[in-house]
Amino acid sequence: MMEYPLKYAQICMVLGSLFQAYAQDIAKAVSISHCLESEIKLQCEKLTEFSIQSLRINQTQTFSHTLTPAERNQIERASNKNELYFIRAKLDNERDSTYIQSFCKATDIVDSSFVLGVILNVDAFGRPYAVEVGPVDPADRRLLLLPEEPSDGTLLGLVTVLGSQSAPTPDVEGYRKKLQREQAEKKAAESSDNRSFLSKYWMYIVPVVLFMLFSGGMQGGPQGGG
Amino acid sequence: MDSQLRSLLNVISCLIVLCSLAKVIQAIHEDQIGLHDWSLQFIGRPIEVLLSASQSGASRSLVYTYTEQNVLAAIDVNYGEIAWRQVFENNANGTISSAVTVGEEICVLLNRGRSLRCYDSLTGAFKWEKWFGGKSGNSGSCVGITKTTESPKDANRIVCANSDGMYAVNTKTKNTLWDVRSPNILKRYAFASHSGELVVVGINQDKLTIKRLSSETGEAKENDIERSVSIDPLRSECRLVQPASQVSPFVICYNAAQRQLLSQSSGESSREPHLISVHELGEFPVEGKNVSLQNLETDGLFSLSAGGVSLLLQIHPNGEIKLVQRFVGSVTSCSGTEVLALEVANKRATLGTAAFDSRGFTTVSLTSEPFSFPSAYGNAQRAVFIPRKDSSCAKPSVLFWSDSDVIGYFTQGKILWQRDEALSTIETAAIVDLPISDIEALVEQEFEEKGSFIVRFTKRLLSQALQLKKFAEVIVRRLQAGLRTGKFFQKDQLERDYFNTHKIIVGITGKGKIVGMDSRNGNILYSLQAENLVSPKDRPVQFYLQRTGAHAPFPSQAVIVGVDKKTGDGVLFFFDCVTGEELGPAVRMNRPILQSGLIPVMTNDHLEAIFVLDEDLNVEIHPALDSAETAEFLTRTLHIFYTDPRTGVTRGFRVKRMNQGWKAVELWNSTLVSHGESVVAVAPKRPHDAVHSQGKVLADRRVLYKYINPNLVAVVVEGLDDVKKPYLKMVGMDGITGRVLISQTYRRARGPCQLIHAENWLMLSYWNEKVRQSEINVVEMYRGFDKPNKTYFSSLESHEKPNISTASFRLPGFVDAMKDSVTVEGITYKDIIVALSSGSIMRIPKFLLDPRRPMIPTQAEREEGLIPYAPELPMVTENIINYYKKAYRIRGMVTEVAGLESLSLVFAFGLDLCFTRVTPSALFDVLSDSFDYWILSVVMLVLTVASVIVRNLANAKALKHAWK
Repeated sequence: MMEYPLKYAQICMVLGSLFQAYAQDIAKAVSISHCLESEIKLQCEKLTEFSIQSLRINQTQTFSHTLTPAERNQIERASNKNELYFIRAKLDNERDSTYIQSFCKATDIVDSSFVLGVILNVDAFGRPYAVEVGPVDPADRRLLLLPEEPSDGTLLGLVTVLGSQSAPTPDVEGYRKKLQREQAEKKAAESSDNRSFLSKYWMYIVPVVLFMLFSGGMQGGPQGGG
Repeated sequence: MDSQLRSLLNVISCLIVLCSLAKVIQAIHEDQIGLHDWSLQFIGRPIEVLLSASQSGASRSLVYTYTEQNVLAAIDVNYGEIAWRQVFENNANGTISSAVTVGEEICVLLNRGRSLRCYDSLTGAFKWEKWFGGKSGNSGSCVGITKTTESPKDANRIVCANSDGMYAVNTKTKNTLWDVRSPNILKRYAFASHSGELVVVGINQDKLTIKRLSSETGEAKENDIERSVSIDPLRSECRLVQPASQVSPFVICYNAAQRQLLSQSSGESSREPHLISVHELGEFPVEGKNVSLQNLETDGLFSLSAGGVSLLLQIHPNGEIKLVQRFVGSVTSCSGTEVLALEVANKRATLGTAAFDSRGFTTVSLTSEPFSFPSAYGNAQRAVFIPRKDSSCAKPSVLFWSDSDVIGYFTQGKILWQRDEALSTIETAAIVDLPISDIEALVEQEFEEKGSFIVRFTKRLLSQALQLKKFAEVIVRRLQAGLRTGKFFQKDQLERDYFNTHKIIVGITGKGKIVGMDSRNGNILYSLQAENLVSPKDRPVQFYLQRTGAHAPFPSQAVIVGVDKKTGDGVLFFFDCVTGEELGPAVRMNRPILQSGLIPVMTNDHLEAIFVLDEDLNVEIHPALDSAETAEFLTRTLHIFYTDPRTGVTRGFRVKRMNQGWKAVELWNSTLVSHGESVVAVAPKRPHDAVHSQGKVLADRRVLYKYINPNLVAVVVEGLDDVKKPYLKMVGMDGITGRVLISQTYRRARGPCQLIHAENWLMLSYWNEKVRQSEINVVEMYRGFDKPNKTYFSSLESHEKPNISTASFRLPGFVDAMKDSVTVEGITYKDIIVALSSGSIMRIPKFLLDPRRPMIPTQAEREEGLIPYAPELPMVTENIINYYKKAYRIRGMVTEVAGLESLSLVFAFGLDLCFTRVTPSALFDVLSDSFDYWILSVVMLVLTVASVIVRNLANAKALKHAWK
């Protein structure tokens, strides 16, 4: 009788903590900014912002950022000098110095017609912990999601959220079922085979008998003749 | 019929022989034990040494000790060998608070003073255990009371005091004689006074309580004494000292927090406690750790020691404490009126005695010639007089130990034996190649292609002459040694053998002690102490081999990266890891070190450089590489990866030349840790990881190419989820770009974790809390069936993510350490070497840990050689590579290649050391030790003779046939 309220209370606690965690998360938004290596201290400019709530694992969102001629020239110059292009992601409730950052070659951005492939890695609890940036392969289907055609004047971005896989546990259940099946098959084979001993093993007995007969016959011949 | 029966028996016997040949025997024979392996057992640094009254003067003299490593051991003082030992749990449950010897038993108080366990003092056999129970206290103490009469009612008993009360236990019957429950005390000590009564001292944050009880009944003899004092129970030590006969004993406590000594009489009419600061008594080291307070047999005397300094102190009947003498060394009692002093100065030690009586303290008179006390011993920490038939105060036998964990036994004017217990605290180890022999070095010089034809020819002739000379020298030396020792084929020099299996094992402790060991037998070749170098708080000291012994005439060079003991700033210590010589002064940096590593750039003298990244992101390179070409190369290629264990922030840097120096510039960062999580393992790939095959050939003849990224680093994070259940998170990142290549979460899993990273796979062992069993998860990475176009791998150019294949297995045992075997070319299959908490070191073939193992294999999978999946890994006893020689508390393992492709050398270090070799694919490239060369020679000879005879016969037959 006492178990029910206890379990109920436990479920409430679990739900409460989950809700709390969720409530903490929905307060967060991720802003993405970019910067170039040539700057002495990276002064990044905001590109876009997403709310955590809108991020779905393995889904892609897009953004577009109109580049000023100066910005475009800067990226192209960085590309010519083989410099790097940086992306930063920051949660809105974190300090300015707390961010996650990644980079790629500026050449990659120019070569992919100013289309950025951004990957936001989130852990099992939906917390972003790493960001990646790189060019998008022309054959990538995600390009169809872009709101406009790639051009020099606009920086287009595809932001994909990647989650964490659950590691597999030892497949004890599958193995148990396999053993059961094998045992059942063995039993079925044993029960269906109700032949006599001779009919089951004649193929082994006959050669032995023949061998003994022939070898006995060969030795017995000369004896009889004598 | 007889012939039929015989032929049948022949057939059967042939079948039996064939069947017996079909199974390969993997176990070793008894005579092979110790042939290629050795193991050493240790006990750790002693806390206290005890003597057994029943055995003093016996032929086999045992002394008992309990150590900081939770080990209770008996040492044979005649030989320095461990007679027996008991290894307790490596946590608070196994921490020994106190130990006593009573009669034929030795008992230890464990589990924060809640459990008393007794062993036979001669054999170490377990006798009984008493569970006192109670709350989780801090510690406790026990005192042994020997029976005074032969009355059956009188018995040996042990009185223990812990946070919850006092208990007296009969050692024969294990019955509780009496108990007095008195909770709410943080720490308690039990002492027996000279008059036989029991004095129990209780300490709380602000109160000192002294109880005087009858040891027979537990009844209070007088009212309790309670004094208000400011004392930290966790950082204080108390002893009972009798100032003089007919005077109540005094309780002396050392309060490490305030560096004060407190004295309080246990008499009823006692006054307020007497307090004195230690610095008022004499110059005493500031170090708060390892301060030892000891009472001496002489009335009123006690000692306070730390950092190699001992203050011999006296308490007067009025409670006043005065300094008698200050020693650089240690003091101990040798009789009721005499004190022994072990003094250390200039790497020499002396033993002296001093009499103390009513007239005062007479000066120390030497009892022995000074004996060697090398700097590698560190400071003398404690000395204990061992009463034996052949020893007295004038001719003492003394057991001593130092703060570098060396235990020595001095008797009859010399050190009879010593044990280097520092080997049980090795944090980092490496197996290093020995230099090539002088003759081989000359051969290498002979073929140097420098200079004109004439120069080279002359050099060759000269070199060959020198080789001949060296060869003659070696022969003469061996003959001389052989005549001396009777062994003519023994190699006494430290040089590489034919199959490169003879190596030097370098072990480094957290306190900066470096030990070089011979891989053939574990003998210590050298031992040196890096001055003021200790390991950083969050990781072990780092060892880098900058130059091997293969570059004659240059010595091999290694560097240890640690921190300064006092300042916490980085320290680099350079030494020759073959001879143990220090190579120049240590480099002391001005800031703490974040990261260090080898740079794949070699100077003209074959020295590989190392980089050191400090907290201000300055990068130092040793030796300095100043050429423009090298600077350009480093700017382009040197990337640094660093994970902060505290914050979990993982950062990637590249280096830039700035103002004649190098600066690290951050390229990427990730925050792997959120609230409550911590980094538990970081595993980059081995620097020269040999991967022989780039893919796996499947049954349909397609090749599944491996994803081999040399820059991949795996990080494991441990935390609690929202419902307080543990989980682990493994993230595999590219160390140059910070790209996440693998991310896996393990629910209901917790550490300790062991992580291996090799070729295209990762292996993580952890504890599954749900099923309460150890599990191993394997992750293999593949790039697919398309052949890669490039012959090299570039993290900057590679944007692909690997295909993951993963599976988990259960392991029936608790994993202490895990490592993969390595071979020269990586052709041999890999074995996973697993050290279990049971003391066994087991090898598991890697093919058993293949994530592609199918539950029900198809024909193609069978053809490929995949074995069916089973969730549990088998514990095959033949695979235990240390067979019955248990090695406990293994903290880490090192595997190294030998000259043979089939062979991998394994060194496991922890409380014990173990060295052996494994052959994952059997010895395929060399004949085994059991190969019968005589039979082979005889068969060859017979075949040759037979072929000659048969040839002649055939010729004769052919001739005869031709004449027909």
